[in-house]
Amino acid sequence: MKVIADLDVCIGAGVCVLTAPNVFDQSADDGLVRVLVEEVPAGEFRLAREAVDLCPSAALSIIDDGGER
Amino acid sequence: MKRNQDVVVAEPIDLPTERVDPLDPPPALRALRERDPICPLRFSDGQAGWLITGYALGRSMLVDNRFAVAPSVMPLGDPEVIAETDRIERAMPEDAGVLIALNPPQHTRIRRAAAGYFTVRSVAEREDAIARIVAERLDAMEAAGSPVDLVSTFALPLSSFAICEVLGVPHGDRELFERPSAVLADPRADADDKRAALEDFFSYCRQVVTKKRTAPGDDLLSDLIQKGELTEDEIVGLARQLFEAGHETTATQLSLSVFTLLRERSDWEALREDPALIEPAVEELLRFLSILQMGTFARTATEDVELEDVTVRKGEMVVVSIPAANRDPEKFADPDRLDLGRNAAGHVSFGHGKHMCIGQHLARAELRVALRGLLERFPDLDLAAPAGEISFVSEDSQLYGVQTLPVAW
Repeated sequence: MKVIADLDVCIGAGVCVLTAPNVFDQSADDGLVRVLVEEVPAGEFRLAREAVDLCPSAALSIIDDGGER
Repeated sequence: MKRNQDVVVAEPIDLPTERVDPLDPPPALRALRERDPICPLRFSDGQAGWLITGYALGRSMLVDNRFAVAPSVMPLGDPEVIAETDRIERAMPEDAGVLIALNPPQHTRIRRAAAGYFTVRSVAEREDAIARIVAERLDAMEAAGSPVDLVSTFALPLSSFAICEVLGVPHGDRELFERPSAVLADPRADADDKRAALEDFFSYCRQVVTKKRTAPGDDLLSDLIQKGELTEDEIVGLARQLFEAGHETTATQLSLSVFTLLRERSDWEALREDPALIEPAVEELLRFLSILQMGTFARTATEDVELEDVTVRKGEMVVVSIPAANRDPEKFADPDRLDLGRNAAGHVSFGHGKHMCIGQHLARAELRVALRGLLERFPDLDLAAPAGEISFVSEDSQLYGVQTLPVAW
């Protein structure tokens, strides 16, 4: 699973960091999202999906979902 | 089927406000959600718009770029005072920094300039400072002796002091932002009162910014000045919004949360026995209590938009009922049950979309640290009056909560 972030629409709310702190971080400068991992580890699939779903600005999307976990 | 192309168009309703249980949303909202998750709503000035009571629909509208923030027209309140206050406010140059009134690209630029101070990590680094404030307030409760009013002794000073720390002003300044905020939130204040409150508020914020320019500190305002990305008016306007939104909301949520836990004493005991439950409990209390009872600030359609089976015409306003959306059984199983252990993530108590609360992590940290502190210091805390005698704010207040909360130990 890969997660990509659209920094043009990200508002730096940090909901993704709250939800999946091993997958996402925020820039200390403007709060914008940083995806920490090239490939989401299998153990983080559920939280990563939840974070993508909860994003308030729809800035996150999943490519290559990686199947059921 | 396009409902508003039918011959019979439903009459706009007034926003339901009548509660049966003080902790549950007005029952009429539930009936609306079941029948018409989007229905015509009459705003206080008489114009018709839409009320969304369904969770999924509300969330999708709030993230939809075809909707912009509207002039502040409320479903409830004196329409002339609201319109006049909005006109006064928008004529003030500092309005350029008030995030909730802005659309992109101004909103994006200003929000990003401030967001670094409200990240998950930045708030975590402040948690020790919050814990110190909480400890001082617990000391103050002890010094005052049982019983005390939890709102004025604990919740309100705590949240005011926390935003003082972020913005870098002395705790003694609290009156200077609490007073104008209270007038602006008072449904019974007239337009002259509101104008005076706005002028006092911006004048205070401007003094703070001027001081920071000559004597910068380690705080958000000094940082914004140093970065030089925002104008003076924008920084002053932003400061006002952060002071205002940063104290009343959290104080209201905290006091109402404590009332809720003490009314059903088993919930208080459950947290006492298992402090790990505090974190999910804070989230569940945010969902369950939904203190922004009037809903989100209104959005205006910038073009005709189809939402479910209705067409929202360009220029029409839409409000999402936060209490109704947060009790939608399609999102939260058994939604009317307070379940401290549930995963309440996804509630819309902080809003959704690009205006979602910038201070949400700070609010969570305050609520968590405050509840933990109360549970440790006063494990036998109890209401000092029968639950039925606790007085709540009026039905047309934007924030729903208790006026005072007498507690004893």
